[in-house]
Amino acid sequence: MKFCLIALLACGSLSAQTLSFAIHDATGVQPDSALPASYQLPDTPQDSASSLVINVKNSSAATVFVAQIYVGQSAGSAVLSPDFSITGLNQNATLAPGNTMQFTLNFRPSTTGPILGYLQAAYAIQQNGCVIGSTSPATQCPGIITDVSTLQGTGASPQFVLSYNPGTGSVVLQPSSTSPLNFGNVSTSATATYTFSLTNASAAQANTPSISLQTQIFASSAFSLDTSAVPATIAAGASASFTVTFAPGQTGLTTATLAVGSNSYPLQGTGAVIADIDALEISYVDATGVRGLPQAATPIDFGQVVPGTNTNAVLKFTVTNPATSFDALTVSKLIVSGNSFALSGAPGMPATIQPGGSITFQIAFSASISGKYAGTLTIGSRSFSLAGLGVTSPLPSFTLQLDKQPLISQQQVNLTIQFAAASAVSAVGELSMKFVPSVANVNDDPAVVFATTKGRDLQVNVAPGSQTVTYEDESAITFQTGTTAGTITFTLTFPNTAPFSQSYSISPGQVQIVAAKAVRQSPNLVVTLNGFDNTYSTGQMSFVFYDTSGRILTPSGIAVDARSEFHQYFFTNNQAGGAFAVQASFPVTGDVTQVGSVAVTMNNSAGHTSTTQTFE
Amino acid sequence: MRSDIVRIILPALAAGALHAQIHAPRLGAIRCSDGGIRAVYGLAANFIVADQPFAMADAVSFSDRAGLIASKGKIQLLGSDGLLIGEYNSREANPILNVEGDKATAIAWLPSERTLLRWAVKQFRVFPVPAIEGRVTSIRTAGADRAQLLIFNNDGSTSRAVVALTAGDVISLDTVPGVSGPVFAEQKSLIFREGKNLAIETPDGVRHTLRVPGNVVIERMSSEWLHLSFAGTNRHWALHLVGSQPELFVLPDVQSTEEAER
Repeated sequence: MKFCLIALLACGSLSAQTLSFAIHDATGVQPDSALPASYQLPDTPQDSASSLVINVKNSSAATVFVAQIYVGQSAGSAVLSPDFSITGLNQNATLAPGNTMQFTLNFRPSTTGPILGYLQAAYAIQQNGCVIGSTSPATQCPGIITDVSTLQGTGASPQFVLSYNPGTGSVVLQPSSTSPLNFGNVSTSATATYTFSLTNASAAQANTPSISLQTQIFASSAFSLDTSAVPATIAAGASASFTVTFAPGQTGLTTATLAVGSNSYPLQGTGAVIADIDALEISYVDATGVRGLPQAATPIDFGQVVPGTNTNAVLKFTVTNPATSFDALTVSKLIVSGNSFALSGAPGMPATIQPGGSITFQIAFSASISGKYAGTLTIGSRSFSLAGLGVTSPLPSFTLQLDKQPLISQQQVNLTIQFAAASAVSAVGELSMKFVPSVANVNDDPAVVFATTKGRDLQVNVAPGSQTVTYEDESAITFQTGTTAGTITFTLTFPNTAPFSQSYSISPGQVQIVAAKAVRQSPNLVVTLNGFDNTYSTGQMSFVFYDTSGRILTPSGIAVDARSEFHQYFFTNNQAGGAFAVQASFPVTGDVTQVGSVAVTMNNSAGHTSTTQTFE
Repeated sequence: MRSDIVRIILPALAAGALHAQIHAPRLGAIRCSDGGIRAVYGLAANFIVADQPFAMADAVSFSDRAGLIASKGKIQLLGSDGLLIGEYNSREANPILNVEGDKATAIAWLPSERTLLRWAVKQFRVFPVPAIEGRVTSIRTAGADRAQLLIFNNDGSTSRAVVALTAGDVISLDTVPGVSGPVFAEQKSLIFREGKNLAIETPDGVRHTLRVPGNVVIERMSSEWLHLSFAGTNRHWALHLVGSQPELFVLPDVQSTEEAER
């Protein structure tokens, strides 16, 4: 496509009034300077790169369509140079008068010695009635290809040379070779490790390039890399060593790419059946049903768990003797090491697996603190590393705050969950409330609930930037304390966070009379009391009646033992906790209007309470 | 008269008399968003709302001694025992109900007929009041033969009308100062919307305001308690207006019948 477009453009010379090219200092220290007709790039080691940022400005009064900017092998050639590249350029761009665009010119010598490149631009000017993009020959704008600058550079010897020793002497590896470095056939019970040497071939100390393995398998590769002995810098002429290990957990060919700086070195190896047990196919599935084929070179990853949450990550393993096997295979041992990894469901050892048969077992990972965990799974002579991670929440620490403390019965209290700092993330959590009565033989109080849900579980939210947890956009979460002594425990759970619990006690107290009414219903006096006893122990009552002048009437102090009635009320089909309504009716001889008031005392295990009520 | 001639006969009877007289305190009944009427037990700040509704209704008003229920055009008067006392087939979709004390305080406004309905000894009686214009938002009996209505007028003002229950005549019609919007009267207090707040003006002239999530529906849940609910939300409040200081509590959210069954 590029060639087609370029072919349509007529060659011409670049007008200084049309596009101007300037070298741009990305650091902003130096002002832009015009790109000369011939520019000398710095000497650059082979397979390394030098870069130059260039600004292109439309200096004309007309709109310019920039089709392509490239580096050709020779002047006027549309054949691209293998030693230069252009990046960051918005090709096929329209540049208005005075506007600028930018690109990066990269020099990456493929050979040593002097190298020339020809920076060229292909563009069209919208002028004389032509229309950019027109498909009509009559209105098409003529294309122009012009040489911008001749680029001169020198490819120096490679700065770093990678080699390894297969036992027959050092072999220098060529990057991007079409022949992978072959680790050969390796038993699935064994490993093959190659040591590589990275030599700084330059005359100066240099930063060590990045070294990594690129595999097609995300979770588990038969290749592993150990660069722990590689320093950050390598002195001139010095070398650093690292190893690549091929440890197949499965039979068959495996490939990978060793990347050193910008250079790539293909690797391959084959998992082979050397011993009988090598033929066993080992696989696992996680809780979501995703199947994995473990490789011995890389750990079997159990993922993340939250310390202290009693949660774990479980992988279910299957070890199969392929149906293509001729003989039954015996697994001599099945061992899991590592304190945080637990084996379960395994058959007794040794275990014989018939062709086409399999055995299964599980390994669970749990973490006591955050950090990395490691273990080993051994199946006969084959072993696999195990890895897991204990993580903590990204949420800030939080506290539970109540607007009324200490808690007492018959309250509505607002609970606020406050973060120590604004949350950087959003989260959804669970807030639960548990009530444990301290009254013997009482299991619950139905009034102890979150008022907004009538239940004891809420789904709460955290918004980014918020310092509080909210329920239905409200920070204050109202709950009722009920009318039973006991302990309310709130537990807040967020993903990847250990549950946080905080308890609040409601102490036993004297009977509380919330409302009282004394009514003359001749020939009776009727006294009604509404209140609660959070100890469920009341029943002893006394009534003292007074005449309208305040003198005690006889009999003075009428004691009523209603303990059995209250006990039956509290402990049989209780639906109101310690709340009660009691009505006492007193037959009277004489004129009930002479009775002015009554003093009532109620006792419970915490003391006594009195109230005086005037008769209506 | 000497006080000692009064004799209180108690000790032998008291325990036996108390036996059947301890029960869960009942605060009233509310109509939930699903139309189900549920009993509310407990004490202030310690509400227990029954899971199961005992009836369905379009509007309710409950006192400690009676209840009015409007359902599918029928207006029923219940006693404190929940038994049906009387029924009126009004065909009214949105009646305004109120009962504050015994059954004699039961009264209703039927907007489509501009008619007052009250319980008169043994039956409902109706009193056309054609002179009332605007939207009646609150109604209550005022003595044996009068009713007091609060009316939200078309011009945005609120009026208080006193109507004779003998003939339906309007005895007085005054503007309620300082209020522009629907008003609910409770005891000697007024409850109304003030911007995004709910305002409660107590007899001492003090206005107590609180932020509310939307349009409020006020229904009497007992002689001393009002049930406040807000359209489109799960928020319910219980308002206690005895005395000068209003007490407002969150009512535990009420599950719908379907939720309760799940």
